[in-house]
Amino acid sequence: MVQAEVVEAQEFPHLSQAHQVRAVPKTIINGVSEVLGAVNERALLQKVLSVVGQEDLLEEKGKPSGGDADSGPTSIFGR
Amino acid sequence: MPLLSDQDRKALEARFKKDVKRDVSITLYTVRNVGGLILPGRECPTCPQTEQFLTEVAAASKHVHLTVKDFYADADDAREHGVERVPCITLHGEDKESSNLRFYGIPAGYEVMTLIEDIIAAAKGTSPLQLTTRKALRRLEKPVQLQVFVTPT
Repeated sequence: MVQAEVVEAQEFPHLSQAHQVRAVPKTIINGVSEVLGAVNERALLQKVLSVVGQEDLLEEKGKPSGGDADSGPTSIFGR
Repeated sequence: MPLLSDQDRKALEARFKKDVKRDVSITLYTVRNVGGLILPGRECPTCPQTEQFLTEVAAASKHVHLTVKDFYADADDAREHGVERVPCITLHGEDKESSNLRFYGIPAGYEVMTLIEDIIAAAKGTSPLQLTTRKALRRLEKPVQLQVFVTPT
């Protein structure tokens, strides 16, 4: 569900201009929402969840999650 | 002339030896000059250096494998993997067939370390993210695309 791209801003000026990149790092989520600077993991997650309208996923923290037992680390690579 | 200094190459070999114990595939999408011919609109000034750099990185471990593809000759493959511009680097571990991570542009400065750490993470096949983050991401219902703009410094 998550695709991540690192873009060397100077090498792709058109793309950088399209997203009004004036300082780095700048993160664009789904082409619309932006995060300026380096933020911590939870802040980025909150922003991502708000972009897709699933903020409730964070609030559910601590509740029983009905069989969604964690099965250990998940690969961030591949689909 | 190599891009990695002797000292950097030795440090990289030591790091890979310690942390890369399973196979990792790196794919570079590039533009190859045919007989020195560069077609207008298809210039890629950083492509040759990126290929050289990745060749040196792959040589630092028997588990790190580099495949080079031509963005135009292998256009279907590039499209299938979401590659939209060059140079583009993707990587995946041995338990995955494709990558959801793309690096656009030549890795330089701190970005080199980002790439090396991602190669190591791909080899281990585990996410460095916290448990709560992984749990939330697993329940996403819509695709998420993150584009992080960086500069080499």
